[in-house]
Amino acid sequence: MDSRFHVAISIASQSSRLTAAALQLEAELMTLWWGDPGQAGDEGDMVEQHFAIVDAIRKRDADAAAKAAEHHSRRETEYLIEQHLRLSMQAEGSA
Amino acid sequence: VDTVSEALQRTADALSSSINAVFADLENVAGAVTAAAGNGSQVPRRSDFLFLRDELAAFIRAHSELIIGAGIAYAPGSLPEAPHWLEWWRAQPKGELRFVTHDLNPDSLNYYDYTSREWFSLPASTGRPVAVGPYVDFGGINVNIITLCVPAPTPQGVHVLGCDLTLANLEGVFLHALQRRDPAVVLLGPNGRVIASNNAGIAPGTLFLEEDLARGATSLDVSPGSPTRLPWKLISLK
Repeated sequence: MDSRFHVAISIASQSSRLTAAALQLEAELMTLWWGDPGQAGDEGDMVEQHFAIVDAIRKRDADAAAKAAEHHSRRETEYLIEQHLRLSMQAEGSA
Repeated sequence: VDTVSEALQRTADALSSSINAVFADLENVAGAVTAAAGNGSQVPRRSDFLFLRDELAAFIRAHSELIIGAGIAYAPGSLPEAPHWLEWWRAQPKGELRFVTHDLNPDSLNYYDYTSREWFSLPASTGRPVAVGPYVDFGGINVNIITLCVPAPTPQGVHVLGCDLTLANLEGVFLHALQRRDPAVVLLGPNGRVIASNNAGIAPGTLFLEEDLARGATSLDVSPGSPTRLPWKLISLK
C-alpha cells in the first residue's frame, strides 16, 4: 500500500525522473518492508501522513506537499532503522 | 542491573578484542612479507610474494564475520615490474575471493593513487598500525568502510597490509555488546564520523559535529592502551 502510494504520486507528478527515482527507492526498500510484521498503531500514523500529502496536493500547495512528504519519509526511515537496531540487538552472535 | 558505564565498558572491551584479534593476524602476514623481502642483497620480484594470496585468503576466512577484504600495497618503486602495485581481494558471498582491480595509470581519470590515501600514507610514514576511517573508498571498493592497516618494513621501502571492515559488521559487534537503546550511544572515529550508534536519528558515516558533542554525557576510549592503533571513542548522550 505504502509503496504503491509513493509510486502513484510520482506518476501523477508527470516527471519521468521522479518516477524512476521512486521506483528505484521502493525496490530497494521492498525486502525490508516484507520482513516487517508491522506494529499496531503505526498503520494509522502512515495513513495520516499520506492524507497530509494528498491534502496539500489537492490544495495545490507545493511547499506544504514537499514538507509533508519529507516528514513522512523521515518517519519511515526512522521506523525501518528502529526495526533494524532492535533485531540486531536480539540476534545471536556478533554480526 | 547494569549501569550505562558498565554497558560502555563492555562494548569497548568487545570492540577492542575483536579488532585486536584482526590486527594480530594481519601483523603476522606483514611479518611474513618483511621476511620474504630479504636482507636487501637482492631486490625481490612480484613472484617472491605469491604466497600472499593464500595467506590473505586464510586471513579473510578466519575473520569473515568482520572483514570483507584484504590486500597489500607495495611501496612505490619497490618492485622492478611496476612503479605502483596494489593487490586486493574481496570475499564473495560464497566465500571465494575476487581480485579487485584498481586503475593504477596516473594519466587515467579514475587513477587510484593509493600513496596519497590515508590508509597507506599513515602506516608508511609512522611505521605503526592504525585503523583509518570511516570513509567511502571511491575508486577503491566504493563503500563506507574502516581499514585496518599494518606496515611491513623492507629494505626497498614500507609496504602496507590492510583489511576492510564494513560499518554494518562493526554495528553488529557494537549493538550486541551494548544491549541498550537508552541512552543514545555513539561510536566515533578520529575523523569525527559515526561508526555505529544505537539511535535511528544518528546514521553511521555521518559527521558528528561539535554541537552534537555538547550533548555528550560520558566518553570512553575504546582502546586506552593503544590509542594510535584504535583511536575510537564511545560517547553516551544526554
